[in-house]
Amino acid sequence: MGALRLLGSLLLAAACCHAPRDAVAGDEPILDETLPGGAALIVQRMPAAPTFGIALVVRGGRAEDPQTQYGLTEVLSRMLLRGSSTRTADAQALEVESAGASLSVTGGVLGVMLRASGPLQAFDRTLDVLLDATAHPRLDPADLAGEIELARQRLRASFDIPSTWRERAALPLLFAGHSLGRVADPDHYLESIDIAAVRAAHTARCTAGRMSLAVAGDLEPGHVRRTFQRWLASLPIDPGPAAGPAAALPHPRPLASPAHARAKRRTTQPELLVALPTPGIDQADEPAMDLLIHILTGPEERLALEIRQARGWAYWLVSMDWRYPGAGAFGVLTAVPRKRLGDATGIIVRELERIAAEPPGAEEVDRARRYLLAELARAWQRPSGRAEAFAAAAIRGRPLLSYDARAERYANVTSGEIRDLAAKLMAWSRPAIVTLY
Amino acid sequence: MVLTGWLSGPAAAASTLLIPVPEEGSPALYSLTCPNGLPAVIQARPGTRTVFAQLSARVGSRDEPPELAGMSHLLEHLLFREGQAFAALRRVGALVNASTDFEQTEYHADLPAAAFDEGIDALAALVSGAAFTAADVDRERRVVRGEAALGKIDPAAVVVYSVLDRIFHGDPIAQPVIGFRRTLNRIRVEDLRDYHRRHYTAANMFAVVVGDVDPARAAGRLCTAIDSLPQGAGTHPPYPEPAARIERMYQFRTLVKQCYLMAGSLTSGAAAPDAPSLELLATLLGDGRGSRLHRRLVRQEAFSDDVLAITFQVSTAGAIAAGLAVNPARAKAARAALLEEMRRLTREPVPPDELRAAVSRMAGALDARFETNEGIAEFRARRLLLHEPVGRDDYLARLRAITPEKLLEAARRHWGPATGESSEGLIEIQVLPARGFGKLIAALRFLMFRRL
Repeated sequence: MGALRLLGSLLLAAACCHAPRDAVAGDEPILDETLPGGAALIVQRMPAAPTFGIALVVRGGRAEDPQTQYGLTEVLSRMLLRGSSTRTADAQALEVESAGASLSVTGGVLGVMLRASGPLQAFDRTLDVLLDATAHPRLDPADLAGEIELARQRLRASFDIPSTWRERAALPLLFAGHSLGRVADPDHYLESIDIAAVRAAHTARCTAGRMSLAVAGDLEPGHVRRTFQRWLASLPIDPGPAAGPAAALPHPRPLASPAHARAKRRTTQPELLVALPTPGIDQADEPAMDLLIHILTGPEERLALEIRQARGWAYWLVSMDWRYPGAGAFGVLTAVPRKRLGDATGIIVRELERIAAEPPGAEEVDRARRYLLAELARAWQRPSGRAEAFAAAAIRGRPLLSYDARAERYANVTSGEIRDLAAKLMAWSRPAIVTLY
Repeated sequence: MVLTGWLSGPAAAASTLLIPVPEEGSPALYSLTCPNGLPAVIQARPGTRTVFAQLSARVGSRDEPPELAGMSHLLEHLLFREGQAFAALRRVGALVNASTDFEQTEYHADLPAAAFDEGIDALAALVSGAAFTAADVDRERRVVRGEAALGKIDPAAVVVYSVLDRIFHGDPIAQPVIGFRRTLNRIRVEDLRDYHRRHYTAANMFAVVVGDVDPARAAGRLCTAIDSLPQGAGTHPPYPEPAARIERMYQFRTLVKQCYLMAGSLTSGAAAPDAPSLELLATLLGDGRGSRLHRRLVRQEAFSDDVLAITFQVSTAGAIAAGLAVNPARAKAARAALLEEMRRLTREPVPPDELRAAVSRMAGALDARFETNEGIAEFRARRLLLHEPVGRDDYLARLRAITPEKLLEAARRHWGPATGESSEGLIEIQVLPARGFGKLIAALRFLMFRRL
């Protein structure tokens, strides 16, 4: 039997070990360069990957929207896919989707991000549609009326979701007087935005110096560079200021004492948010912040064990983790029966205080590292996951890190650093406690 | 040679059963049957750093007696939390989860590649044992009630409960997978252990492993890990086609501000020959910015960008539907446009270029799924569940063989011929804002629903 087993194993070893290195094997170097005109280009090759990912980020987001024009970024971003000077919106969609690719756009706090992904053979045409949409949008007044109606409808529909009301109660409390604390007024939302404002925002923001293009896939970096440069040269607009990350937001006001708010809404699921504003997270503290959040709110970690496992109060528990240059928020969101809201608040506050006082155990730090790396490995399997991570890092002014570099940063974080970071955040502000029921 | 160091009896036997599965772009895809009868699929994707492992039991809410609705899902919660095995998965940094639906309960872990052995052992231990106590059952019952509350948070969710019950009254498919408060309260620890004993057998389960593994070694380890599972009497027999009693319109007035409009039809399920055509119809209608509903309801008429078109298929039943959320002032016009777009598919063949674009969208979506170990494993697990070939070539070939005429036939079969203004063939569901005294009634209904 032993000999047969050995023979079988040898045959299998011969039969099974011919799999080629897969698309995501190892990390190629990350090309990061600033092109003439100030645009940044980031490319990471993924040899043999059958798909690509593109993320084009344009600096200038909600934080830049004037007080009277809240929502301008959202409208501008959506207008980019309403057709260009040479393509209708239908043609944009058809050209991309008939090649099996997809293209979308979102307006965020720091900028507008266009994302595309698809099979490798669709790369050139998808990039062309994406760049054309960004540079030469049609910006037609009739389309603007449609987009404003759609945005208002989204806002109205969100009011049927109880969590919306918790968020609308929380943001002004966490970020009083700050751009992050603004919420849409349903009676006047977007009423002061006209096509001139959208065109002005496009002219001011969609300049070469504000753009970072991140691409991942089995692509030759020189080819991507040439395509991008050719397109940049055709830009009818000023290059604008030099490339760089988004300007830091002003710090939010720290809360001198715990602040409370309740959103009154009929719901089957009362919600609880315990969170504190932050003045942003220093680059050096980012890995410790990832670990801190996982130790507190990760699946089956401290708070899940206390609130879900030990007591059976909650089905879900997640973190609030907003990180922008100069401002952010850090906290815990969960849903528990109404009669448990007070007890759950106490548990969360105690755990926050505990981690600010005692370094976490070596085992839980180690577990957090492993979990975060498995999560990162999963994201890294997708070219679009890499492209979006690089674009997000560029706009936040963070270094472009490979998988191995990230692993090394996690490995270097000590328990004491996690405690110190928690203590720093807790000392900066007291928490806001927001309930929904 | 290295392999021989650890291969034990069942592992070595399993190794001899590895059968290559041909698939373009996937040179290391294999099927096998473990010595205890458990079928499995293994795919090596070197360099991906993780291994996605899934163990599935062919059991779900369709197997539950009405008085114990929710039992499959409650059992999933209890097995998932099994102490030592779960601790081992946490220790290695696995991303772990589980889910239950009408015909399947699955447990999966995305494992760091270096921890595959420990992880697959733990995952197998999770589904093999039923070491929970009555206290565990009570605790998880509370958690499941919280999960049920999540499902009811959207007032429109009441529709799912009501419509399923009205269409399939008396059949287990009408029960919510999560069960009801009263049925959950009735489930005892012995019921769960017995249920586990009957359904969690090698013959009634399957496994999928995709990632940074050596296939022979992974096969050996998998088969050793699940060797304690009893062989069982056989795989689950086909589910019967549930009897349906259909009304043309299901209308609800409840505590919403917007109108939620949906139209569609029942189908014969994923095993029916026209299932791929229905998926393609849903794509044509609502998937992507180039889809018909997006062009008409979103871009042209600006009713809402909350538009969807979906198919939901279990083996012998299913539905295809499209809908949107819209401002009440525009609901009548939105409904007319929605129905018109659906009826158009029963009147005119889809132009070949539009058909090709929709097929490309579906193929592209599959390409995107195939970027991750998880996406590949999910695809193959679904195919195993339905007893279909696990390779994607077969799926794509069936998709590409669909002609405009076949699509027209499928649309007509399910949505009937369009006649004037009638929505014959289409079933409609509407959730509308309650008005006046109706608000009070709706509030009372909400309170009752919350207690379900």
